[in-house]
Amino acid sequence: MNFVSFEFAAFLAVVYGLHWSCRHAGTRKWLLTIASYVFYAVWNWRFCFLMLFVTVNAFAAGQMLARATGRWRTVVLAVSIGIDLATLGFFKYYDFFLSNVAAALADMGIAASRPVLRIILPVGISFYTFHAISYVVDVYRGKVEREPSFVNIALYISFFPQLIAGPIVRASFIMPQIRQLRSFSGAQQAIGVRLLLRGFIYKAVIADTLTLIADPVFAHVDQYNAHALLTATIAFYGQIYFDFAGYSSMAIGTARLFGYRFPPNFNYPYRAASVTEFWRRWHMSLSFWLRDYLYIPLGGNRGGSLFVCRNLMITMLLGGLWHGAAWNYVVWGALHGVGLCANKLWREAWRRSPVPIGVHSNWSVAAVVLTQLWVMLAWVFFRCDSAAQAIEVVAAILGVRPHPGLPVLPVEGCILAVIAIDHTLGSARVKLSLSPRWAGALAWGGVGALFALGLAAMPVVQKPFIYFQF
Amino acid sequence: MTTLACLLLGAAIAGLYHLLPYTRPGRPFRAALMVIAGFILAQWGLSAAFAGLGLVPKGPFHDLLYKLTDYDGERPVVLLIGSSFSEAGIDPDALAEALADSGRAAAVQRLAIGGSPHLERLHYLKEYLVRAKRKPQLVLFEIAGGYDSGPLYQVHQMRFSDRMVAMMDGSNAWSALRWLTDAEGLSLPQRLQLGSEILAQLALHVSHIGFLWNSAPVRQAAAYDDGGSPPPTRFSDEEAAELLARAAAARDLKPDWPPDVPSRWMSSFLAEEIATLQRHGVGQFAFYSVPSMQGANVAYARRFCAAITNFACIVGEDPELLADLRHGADWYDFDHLQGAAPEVFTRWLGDRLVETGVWP
Repeated sequence: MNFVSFEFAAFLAVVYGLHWSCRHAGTRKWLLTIASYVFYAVWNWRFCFLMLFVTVNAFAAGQMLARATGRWRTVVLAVSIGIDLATLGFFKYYDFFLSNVAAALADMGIAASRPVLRIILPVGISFYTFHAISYVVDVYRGKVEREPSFVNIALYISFFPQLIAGPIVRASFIMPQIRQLRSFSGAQQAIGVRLLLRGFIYKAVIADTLTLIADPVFAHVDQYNAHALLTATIAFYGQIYFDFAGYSSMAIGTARLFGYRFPPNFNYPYRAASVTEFWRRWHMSLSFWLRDYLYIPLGGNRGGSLFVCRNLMITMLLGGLWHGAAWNYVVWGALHGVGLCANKLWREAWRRSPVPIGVHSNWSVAAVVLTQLWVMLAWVFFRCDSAAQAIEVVAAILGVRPHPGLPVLPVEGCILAVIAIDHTLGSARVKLSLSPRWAGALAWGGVGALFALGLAAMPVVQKPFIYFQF
Repeated sequence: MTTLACLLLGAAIAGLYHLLPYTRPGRPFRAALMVIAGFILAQWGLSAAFAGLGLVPKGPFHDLLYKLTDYDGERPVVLLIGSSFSEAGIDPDALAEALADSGRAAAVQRLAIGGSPHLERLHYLKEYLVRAKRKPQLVLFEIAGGYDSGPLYQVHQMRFSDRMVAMMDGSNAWSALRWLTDAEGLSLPQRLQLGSEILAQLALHVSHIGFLWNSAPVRQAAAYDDGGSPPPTRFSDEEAAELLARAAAARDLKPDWPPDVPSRWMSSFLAEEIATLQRHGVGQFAFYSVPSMQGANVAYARRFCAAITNFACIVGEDPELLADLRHGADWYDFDHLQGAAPEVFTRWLGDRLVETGVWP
């Protein structure tokens, strides 16, 4: 069920009405859990059982961790995480792994038949397995208490606003909210509505328009000229931001309508002046999850530069693979890993410099430009069907290889202007000096008016959110 | 250019969003009212802006309407209203010539588009009547069993298509909902589904969803993609002759068509359509059917004309006419004429209109 659809609007209206008409916390939680399973079943009801299995595993591990002592706690943790990762690995990576093994054997002259199962990737599996792992690890670390109520765990893992594509909400962040009765607050509702509108504008108006520029070119890379490939790359650079930030905004806004607060997932990432800063602003719930549950257990910043770079590379390679079972995602992760390592080493060199280096103000602009070019390069690998195709695109854009073909409307300046307007005004938090009465009228009348304008400007054919595939 | 315009508009909307003041809603009810008021005001503004820019929904009707309503000549207007049967089977120039033979020339206008159900025809007929520089003197209605058989089939047939959204204004939605309540043999879930679809399409229409993408300036021929026509059916002369003979002998309607012809809803729909035309000064009406090789269509037209007593009604099944249409090359498929056949039929129809006194 797409957030930008009549079906979702009707679903949300019904669940919202029922939720706030229930008085008891338990009833509300059951209602939201059942609604979340219905939301998931609309896509494929069979995989509801898979999500239930992951939930039971997390719940059981939480119960056992409360009783176990000593190294048994570690065993319970390892088994539970192992089950989650095996589930994720089977559904997401089985075919990828086997096809690569077969290819490697073929290179060695060994013919091997591949029992490829053509497994359907359950929507949202990457997200709800990470939620389950988060709960078990947080209980193990003592950051959250063992949850005695099964419905609380079930709601945490399946809560429909974050079920399909995040944000990845930590158990330690959300469980205290789930345990308490949520009260209806006008301020919360207002924030929820505003976030929903923002997500709608980002996704339905801007991202879906950019899709119309990027998709045809990336579908037939060989048929377009180098300039068209550059335009499509910039279009995708904008599309993925507005698409995913739009989705996240709608997810956070929807949760707010039910009284739940999710952490922010985006903070104007194309303002970042380094890859490190980029990951503090982009898909923050994933980057912080990877930091806390992978990077730090690997050793984090403790140790020499090479050791830290090793940890960064492992984290980003696995982060890339988490996005999809294909080598182009691994390359995308590797490029970000290299960017993080380069930033780390640069800062290290800067800190150790015996002579203080003066920073020219233009340098920060150059740093943003360099960082964003690197990010854009990585997006090419993310978007293309294969690493080979991505190399073809990059080579054509850089002029390394002539790439004649069809042109497209040269709108790259316009796309960058759209991003600049959003990032500048969004992060500036401009405040108009108005009387409270006029401010209220403008705020709420504006919401309705912008929604109307967005409806007229949105392309009619809606594309699914990009992160639904992960 | 639509992409560029919508991108810039998207940037403007995002920018304005960031400029909206953050306030706590003092009273949620009041805030909700403000949201609705802002939405309605913006919709009015959009409607005015689109009208000012001359933007209309993309599709075949507006281009046709522009052409038809622009006529401002001396000859009285004869308007034909129909679907693809008339679009393929009626040659307006040939009909004008045939009518002119009676001594009184006419300007023949064909308001007929493939796949157009009655609701859509009525919607654009109303628009035609508002904009036409010369109101029609005679209106000819096409008879077609498939379109006349059930109102809900028509609502369902084109649901959520651009054309359906473009025509689903308040009046048409009201008509469709009335038909839904009167319809027999529908379960409650079916009624609820159809009712919600009608309301959803009304919502899409009034809220201009995707309008900037699906509109074009009215004077510019909009690129209409009808998905392509199906390939023509190839008939031999013997097959065509045999099918025509079988159709002439047929007496039965299709099993899913209502047995009463015209049906209750069709009668009331026609009464409403004729009343609309009369309010605009149209005084003469007649009905006609385009020849078909499907027996059910011919049988339907025959029964329809038998039931119509107050207006002339012409069934395209005259033996002499059919003798001229028995070549395989005359038929695009079982129901649509092609090649020289439309002219043959149209001249025959013109002669009948003169003979029966409908014209002049």
